[in-house]
Order: sequence, then structure tokens, then C-alpha cells
Amino acid sequence: MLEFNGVFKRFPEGTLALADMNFAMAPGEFVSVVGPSGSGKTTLLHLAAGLQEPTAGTVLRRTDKIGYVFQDPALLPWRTVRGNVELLAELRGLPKPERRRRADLAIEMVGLAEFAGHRPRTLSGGMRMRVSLARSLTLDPEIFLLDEPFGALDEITRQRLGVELSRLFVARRFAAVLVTHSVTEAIFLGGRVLVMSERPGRIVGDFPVPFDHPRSPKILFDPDFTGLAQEIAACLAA
Amino acid sequence: MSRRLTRRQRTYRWGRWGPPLLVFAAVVGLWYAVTYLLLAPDRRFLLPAPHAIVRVAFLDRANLTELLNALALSATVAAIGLGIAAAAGVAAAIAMSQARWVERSFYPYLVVLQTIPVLALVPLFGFWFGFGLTSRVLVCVLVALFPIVANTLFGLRSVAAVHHELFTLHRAGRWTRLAKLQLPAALPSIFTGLRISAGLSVIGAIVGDFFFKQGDPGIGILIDVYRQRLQSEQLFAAVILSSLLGVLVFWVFGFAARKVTGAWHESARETAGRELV
Repeated sequence: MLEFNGVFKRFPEGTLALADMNFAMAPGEFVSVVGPSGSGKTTLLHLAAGLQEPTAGTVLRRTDKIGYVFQDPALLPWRTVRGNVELLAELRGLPKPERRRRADLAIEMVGLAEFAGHRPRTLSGGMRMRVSLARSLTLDPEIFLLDEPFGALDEITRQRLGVELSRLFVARRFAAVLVTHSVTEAIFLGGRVLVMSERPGRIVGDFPVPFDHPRSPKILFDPDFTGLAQEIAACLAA
Repeated sequence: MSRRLTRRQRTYRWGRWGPPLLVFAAVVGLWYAVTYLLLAPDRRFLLPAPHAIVRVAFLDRANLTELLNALALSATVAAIGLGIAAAAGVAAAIAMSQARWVERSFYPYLVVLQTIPVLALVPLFGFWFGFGLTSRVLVCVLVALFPIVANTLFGLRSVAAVHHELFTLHRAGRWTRLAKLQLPAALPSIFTGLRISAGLSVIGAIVGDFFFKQGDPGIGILIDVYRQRLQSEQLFAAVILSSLLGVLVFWVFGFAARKVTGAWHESARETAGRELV
């Protein structure tokens, strides 16, 4: 589904962001990438989405149906929730009734049906993030690229959205790359956790996660979970 | 319960309207004091009493018609000038936002245009285009253009990087990006520019009048005529009416901004002329 082969990325001003990045993931696989800030996690997603080109190496992506979720919900303030969710289908030139159908379905999926007519400024941070998720669902993405989507939210909202994302993953079986600096979040959502080094970023650890989706917050207290978290934290510190 | 609510509403209304009304009453009182206590009767034409202005200028039908016709003409000149400046200014800003070289080539001259004292150019317009409507409108366009270009350009450029990334990711073309992202995002700034320019355009229409005295008189011409003839009640009435025109224009654009962007943009609700509603 997505493959990085010997990928290097150097920015025009000279910073080396990624050095010899290698990994591959299968369709329907959920990969979490955890790393310290400044390790090139966002750059990794930009390369995966084709927003940037690698300096050396190759990025192979077998689908054009990408759902990209930014840390900022990136909603257009002048549009209602429904208008925002319709945006991508609109940009792709889908007819109006089809746009509407997809938008309503996606809004339903994230549980915001009664807010369809609201403008973003009247919603909480967590609700805005859900609108952003709903928007990316409308094009039936085969791969999701999630750039610290819950980074700006409080702990409770973050956990709730994590559960919801796990549920969506089961329902839709997309592939996903989740970039985060939270070890807990990485394990909770990922089927596999990749650990990145300090800049220039490379993969220094690859841990399988032994839990089935959909996951419940209960697994946070499972000894397997806490043990894995310790291992990953040790790998990050090394 | 309902009685307490109305009392609170009454208090609120008094809190809002009371202070400015008190100031208004104080100013009128001071005005009367100057007219009757400070000025000798033969010098009262310098500051005629408010009721005298109302009687001579507003209650006399011929005088009132003369004033209102002039005001309507000046308002028309200002509106045409503002309309041209808005169309040309937004178009220029869009062109500059689409290509750096356009901005680099023309923006410096716009800034220069802004720094030239327009009054120095006004006689030239008469020289080139005659002393009628064309020249008066041109003065308005010239003073109103820059704020619209500058604010629109600022608005078009204020779009967040993450929004641009979203549009890039979904392969939006240049015009889609302009229509669905940049122009809506720029609307609050465009209204800010319009409001500034509308006020300037009214000033432009009056200044134009001072220079170009052919054709039907605008309010600026009347101000000059009344001054020469020492018709001070009408002079004051003309000044008051032109001030009211300025306030009206400011209010109209504040109202329009709130109608268009108030549902989603903070500044439209907080500052757009609410104090004058």
C-alpha cells in the first residue's frame, strides 16, 4: 500500500529531515509512528501524500484515495459543518446530490448529525476534529494519513476520539499512518508502532501490537500494553 | 420575573444610550452659550443657534431642496467613484495575488500613488478631463483605490498554509482555490477596505466640488457658495449634512459586513460600526 525505500529529505535551507527511511505497509494496516518533535514526522506524511518530493530514494503509494487529517482541523469558517464535509467531493467535481449523500453519511458516522447546520466557531475542539475526520471519510480513502490529529485536544476528548477512530477503522478497513508523540496513543491505535530517531529521522524500532480492533480504553491497563509502552519508551530514549 | 427582565433591559438601554445623549445635550448647551453669551449680536453669524439652522435651512422648503439635491449629487459622485475603485481594486489585488511579478511591478506605484497628496493632482484632472462629473468621479476613484487594493491583497494572502495544503492535496486548480478559498477568506478584509474607502470617497466628492464648479452643484460647491455669501445657517446645515453622509456610509458598510461575514467572522460582529447602530 505504501513503501519508503531509502528515502532522504533535505530542505532547501540545508536541514536534513529524514535519512535513509525504509518501511512498507500492507492494505488495511494501521501503522503508528512515534518520535520526538522535530524528528520529521510531518515531513514523512507530506512525502507519503505527495505534497513534497524526496531528495533521494523512492516513495511508492498504490492508491490516490488519500484521507489527510491535519493537527489543525483546517475547517473553512464560512462554511457550515455540512458545507465543510462536502468540500472534498466538491473539489473532485462530484454532482450535488452525491456530495450531499456522502456528507450526511460521514457526519452521521462521527455523530454530529444534529450539528450539520452549525458553523465551526460554535463547536468545541473535539467536535471540530470530528468534522475534519468526517470530511476525509467522504472520498472513501484507502489510506489515511493522520498528523497528530488529537494533539491539540484535552485528555478525555483525545481518548474518546481514539475509540471512535478504532471503530471507524473496523468499519472501513482503510490503511492508516498515524504520526504522534504520545506512546499511549501510538499503541492504542496502531497494529504496529514504528519508532523514529531524533533529526535526521530514521526508523529505529518496529513493534507489533497484540490487540484486536475495535479497542476499548480497558486495554490501557493490560500488562501487555504497559509492557509494550515501556519497551517503546526505552527505544525512544536510546 | 418578566418585570425584572424589563427593568434590566431598561437599565441596559439607558446604559447604552444615556451617556452619548448626555454628551449631545452638553454640546448643544455649550453651543447656545457661545452663540448668546460669548458672541455680540452682530457677530452671531459666526455660530448661529441650532434652532436658527433648523428654521432657515431645514424648514424652508426651497433651501432644503437645494441642500438635498446637492447632497444627492455628491453622494452619487462618491458612490460611482467607490464602485469603480472597488471593482478595479479587487481585480488588481486578485491579479497581484495570482502572479508575484504583477505585484512586484505595480504595487510600488500604488504606494507612490498613495503618498502623492491627491489635492495636488486635482487641478490636473480638471485640466485633462474638464470640470464636470468625470473629474469629480476620478478624484473619488483615486483616493478610494489604495485601501481596497491593500486590504484585499492582505486578505487573499491571509489564508492559512494548512488550508492551501488541503486544496493542493485534492488538486484544486488556481480558480477553484481563488473562488472557494481565497476570496471567501478575504471577505472581511475586503469590507474593511470598502469601509475606509467609502469614507474617503465622500471626502473626495466634496474636495472635487471645491475645484470643479461646472454643472449642477454638489454639497461642496454649496459650502463654498454659502461661505462667500455669509449664509451661515445654510453653511452649517451643509456641513452637518455632509457629516451625516459620512456617518451613513460608514454605518451601511458596517451593516453589510455584519450581514455577509458576521455569522463566522469575529471582527465583523465586534467592530463593524456597532457603536453607531
